Amino acid sequence: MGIIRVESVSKVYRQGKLSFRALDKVSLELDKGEFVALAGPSGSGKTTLLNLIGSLDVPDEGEVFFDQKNLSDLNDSQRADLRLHRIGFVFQAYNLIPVLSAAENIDYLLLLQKVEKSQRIRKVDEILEEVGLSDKAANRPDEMSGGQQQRVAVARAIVTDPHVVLADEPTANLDSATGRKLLEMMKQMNRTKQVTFIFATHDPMVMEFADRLISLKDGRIVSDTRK
Amino acid sequence: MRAGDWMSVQICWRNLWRNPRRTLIILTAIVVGIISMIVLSAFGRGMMEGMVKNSIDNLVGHIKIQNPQYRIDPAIDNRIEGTKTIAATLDELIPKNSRLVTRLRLDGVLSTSREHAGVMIVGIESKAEKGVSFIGRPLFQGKQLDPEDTHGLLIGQGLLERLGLEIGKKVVVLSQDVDGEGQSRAFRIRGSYRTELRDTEKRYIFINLGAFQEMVRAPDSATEMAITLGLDDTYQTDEIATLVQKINGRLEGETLEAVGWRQMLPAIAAYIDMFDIYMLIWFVVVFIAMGFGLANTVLMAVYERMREFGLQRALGMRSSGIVKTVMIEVLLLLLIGMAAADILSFLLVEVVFKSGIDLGSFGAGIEMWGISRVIHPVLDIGDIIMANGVVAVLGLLVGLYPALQATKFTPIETMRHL
Repeated sequence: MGIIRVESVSKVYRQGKLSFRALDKVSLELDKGEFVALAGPSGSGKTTLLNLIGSLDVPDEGEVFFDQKNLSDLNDSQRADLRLHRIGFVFQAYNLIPVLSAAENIDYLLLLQKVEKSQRIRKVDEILEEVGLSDKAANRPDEMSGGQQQRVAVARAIVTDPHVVLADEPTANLDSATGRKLLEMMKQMNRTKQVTFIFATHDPMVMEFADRLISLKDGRIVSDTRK
Repeated sequence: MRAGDWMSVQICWRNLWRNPRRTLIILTAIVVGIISMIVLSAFGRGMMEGMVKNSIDNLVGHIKIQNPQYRIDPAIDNRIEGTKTIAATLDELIPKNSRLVTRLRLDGVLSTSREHAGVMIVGIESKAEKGVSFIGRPLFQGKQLDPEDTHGLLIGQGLLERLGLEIGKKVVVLSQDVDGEGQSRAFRIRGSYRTELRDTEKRYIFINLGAFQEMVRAPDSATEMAITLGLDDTYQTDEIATLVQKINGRLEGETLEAVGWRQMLPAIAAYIDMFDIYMLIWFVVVFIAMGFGLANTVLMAVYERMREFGLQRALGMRSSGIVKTVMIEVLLLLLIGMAAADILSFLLVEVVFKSGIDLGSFGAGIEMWGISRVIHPVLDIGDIIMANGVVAVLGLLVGLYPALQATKFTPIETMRHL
């Protein structure tokens, strides 16, 4: 049984009299420890699918199950708790809280989880070490490069020991060398911690790193390839 | 405070200073608003205390014993007789640090060789008036009445100037005696007094009680016996009311009645009663102006940070957490504003305006209300608490609107702005 199950999900965005079907009866199952890329051109529905899996949005039709739990059955607060404890997020940009340092940005989620202080300090130090940013612990986002900021975002996503990390175009604003380093780091975490990584991307490098490539077009899955 | 809460406060504090100019502008609005609340209430209270003090000082006292008819018809027929016996009775009742004075106050005429003036003649125990009424204070010119001086007179500087008189000049005083016959006696002006209220100066003349009793043929008589209590605060009205009750109990059967200053000065008493309500209304009016600025500023800050709020919600923060974050920011703004305003208000009242504000140019207008020419603002802890309370409570209520707006940003909507 997969960690995530998407059953015949559709999502339609409406604006005035216009409507746009972002997802059209999409079904898929993802297993624990997978490193998956959702690929496709802009408007193909990959970000919408990622948002539904991450409980950031609700489908118009169909159901999304996370750890066998139907996300449609959860209220707003329960979905927030699910995201806090089970899911890590890495976005394309504007990932960090600008008034907090790298360490504080990571610590912030542990505080929301009400983790005890000594444990928080240890975990933040370990994860900063792991992403190679121990020397930047006190730096605020505007004092770090884009690559460093994304590494902090990954550290924050992973520090809570989530089951799944959802990354929406994480390499879009990075040069290829920095993007590769970031992906190598995430791949390493995927192997060592058995965390499921799901990317929404149209970056060929991310697709190259992925163990499984799911291609979408016009809101439908057109291919699902395992390497 | 939990670690999470402390982190929230840190985030909020830093957020406030992301746009220092905007924060300083709204802080200035809060500070100016609270200062206007506190300082104006201090002036209002100073004005009110001045009014009460002037009135009590103006031959009223804290408690007065009179024939109730005298208040309706201030004629010699409505006098108190046997004042010495009554004074002995009152001495047993009143606290040791109190003063009791006996006065005979009747309408009359002051005549010079050229002019006449309608006056209120007050027979006083000159030494006993010290610390009780304005006539016991040092004079503007001349010397106080000697208790044995049967022909000495004190006159207001205003009347002295109006009649073109001088110290040492002789005047004739006319009044009615107990049989309704006109009586006159020559007096020599020994001194002149000044008061806060110019009308008093033009109306009251003072002679020795014994001399006046003899003139109107009313020995051991008076029209009032006034008690001034050694109170720290004139507003200790409960103590006054209790004593009034006690005196009236003892005077039962006599045609006499003791009344407190609140009964004698009902307009001032009503003004005092309404003062706190006036102030509360004033505070709310000031806050309304300030509140719009506060709500608008916080709303602006919230809209600027909608992505951050979206990000925080995506990461797992509940809506209540977002509300808490915004409310902490509002609270910090209010606390800084209140602290700065309280300190500045204290400095303004206790240092800058310590010597009072001279409203001499409005002299005639303010005197009509018994208000002093120089107003000494009075800081009252109750006013400070009320001003801060109004700002804190209404400020948080106003802040609730942008805070609730912030929860309306869904992560999806805000991420679309990336």
